[in-house]
Amino acid sequence: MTKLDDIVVGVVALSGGELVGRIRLQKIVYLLEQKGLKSDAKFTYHHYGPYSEAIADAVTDAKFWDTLEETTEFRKLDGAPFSIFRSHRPVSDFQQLGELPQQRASNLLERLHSENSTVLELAATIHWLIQVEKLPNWQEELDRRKPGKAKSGRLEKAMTLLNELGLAPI
Amino acid sequence: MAHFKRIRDPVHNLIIFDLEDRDSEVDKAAWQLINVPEFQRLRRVKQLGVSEFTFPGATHTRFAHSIGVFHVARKLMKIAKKQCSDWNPNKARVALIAALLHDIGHGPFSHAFEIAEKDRLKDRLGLYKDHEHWTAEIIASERHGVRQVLKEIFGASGAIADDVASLLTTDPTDIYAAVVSSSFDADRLDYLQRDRLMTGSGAGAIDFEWLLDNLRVVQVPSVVEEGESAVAIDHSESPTENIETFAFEEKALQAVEAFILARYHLYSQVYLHHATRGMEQMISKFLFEFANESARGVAANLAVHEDHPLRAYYAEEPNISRYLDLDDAVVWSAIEITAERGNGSLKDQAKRIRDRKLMKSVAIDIQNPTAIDKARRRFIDTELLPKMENSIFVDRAPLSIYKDAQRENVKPHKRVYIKRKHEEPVDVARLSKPVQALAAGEEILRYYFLDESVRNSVLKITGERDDETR
Repeated sequence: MTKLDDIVVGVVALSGGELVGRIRLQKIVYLLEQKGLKSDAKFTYHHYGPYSEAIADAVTDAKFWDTLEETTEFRKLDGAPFSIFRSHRPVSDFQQLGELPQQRASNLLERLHSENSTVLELAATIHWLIQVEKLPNWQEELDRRKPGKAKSGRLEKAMTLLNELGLAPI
Repeated sequence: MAHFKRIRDPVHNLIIFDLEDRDSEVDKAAWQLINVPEFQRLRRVKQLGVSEFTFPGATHTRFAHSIGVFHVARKLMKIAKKQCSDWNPNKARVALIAALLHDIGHGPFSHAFEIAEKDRLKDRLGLYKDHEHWTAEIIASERHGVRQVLKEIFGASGAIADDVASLLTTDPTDIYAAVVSSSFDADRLDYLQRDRLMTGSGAGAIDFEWLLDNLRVVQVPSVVEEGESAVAIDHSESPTENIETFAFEEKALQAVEAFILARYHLYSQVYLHHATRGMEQMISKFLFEFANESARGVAANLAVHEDHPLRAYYAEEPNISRYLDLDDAVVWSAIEITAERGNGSLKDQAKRIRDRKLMKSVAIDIQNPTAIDKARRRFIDTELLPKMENSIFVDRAPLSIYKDAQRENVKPHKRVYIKRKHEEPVDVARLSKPVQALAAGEEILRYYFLDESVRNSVLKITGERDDETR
């Protein structure tokens, strides 16, 4: 088990032992990283926003070493597949999540889990466009890259989330 | 008077270009685009890179594939046109040209070259470009042939070139773009048939005509939440959250399954073949070291002349002119010269590549590991890799046929939809057990060893002989 494998399992364990969705997992680690997680995961930009190959590998490896389970389920309405991750390791194994103390990590996770995966994707993408790509016209770019997603109140929710996390653009 | 040009093709037989078609002038543009030097370069870039080391017949080029994609795209566009009430001929024209040019930015040995580029430029933010970015840059360039041709035929300073470049670098939202990028796009429909034919693989047949006959244009949500609770999202009142794409009639379900399985078989048996992947690793390593040496300029300890296109490309920051000088033949000449007159590690690598001295590997079953898999992996990761990272190559790749390569979620436009009577289109996974089985995805993990004795030390820890390994 590497440090990143352990962080991925810790995120699931501190999320009540279950986490739904690969997009959710990736964006949560990205946003926690901005809050001092220090996972060492390198991110690049992909279809759903900031994405780390190392995190996807860590998921595979944690499954290989039997510390994480993943099942694929299919939404009843339209058949869309999604992943459910489960960890059976006790919360007490994670006094620290990376460099974050357990209580701090749990509080952040609780807030992040109150949003759907598209809001997390938007929040992570906005942060990426501003902090990594340094785009002054990030709203325009967000509309171009994510047509339709920044609508129906989701952009406002993403901005509120970033504000509460102290990650919003000034 | 009708004026036709014809190309014979091993997959599609006769591909005809109507140069007098006044309606769209797409064929005329395509014929001229095929003849610009940037497109002709694709004659010298093999479609499957080093797969010919494993499948000797797989020497077909991106040139032939690109023309095949254009041919299939025209067929798909005709189907789409019949089913759309508000047809936009300008968008159709842009998409057809994009289909022809979609691979124009591929470098030599595409995959191996890109891996080496990523590695050498990893600490230099913004310099690395994948083939899609090169494609867009070549198409939009004022100084190169594509834009010139489009300007001559369609006017407006060749502005259509920017539309084509944009279509190829953004996610599709309408049916025109779906012809170029979707679960059933022209690219996929050509390469599945062409690669199967040219490799001689018996796996991966598709029922092409039946699939085309059952193809329909539908609208599906562009915003797909993860999980069961997402069913509460109502897309019907927000058309901006829908995209237009292809779906199949339910009676084609089994042909659709075969189509998805065909990709699975080609990926597992051809694209990710252990010999091919091993050769790619060797070429990547050669290119990486060659690039680092070239960056030393005139002081570089290389057998190839400093004007050699590969050396000249690596001596500068990536730029379009130098990039367009590269092709498989250029890389092969650098390998041949280095093998004959080079020195040190690069010479050894070049000789090994030229003479097909493949590295042997140890494969780890990452989905269903045994105790042996775990023991070997632990030994390699903890005892060997830290000491020998330059002589052991780790090959990890997703075999995710019904999941994106990024292993996050299937993009809405890449999902395969089935159109059912009295129901919104549904994902094929809802109706098909075989597709459900593929949705979980697989991955490969292999370790390649330059030194066979090191590999044997891995086998020894589990008491296995060479001929018993996977």
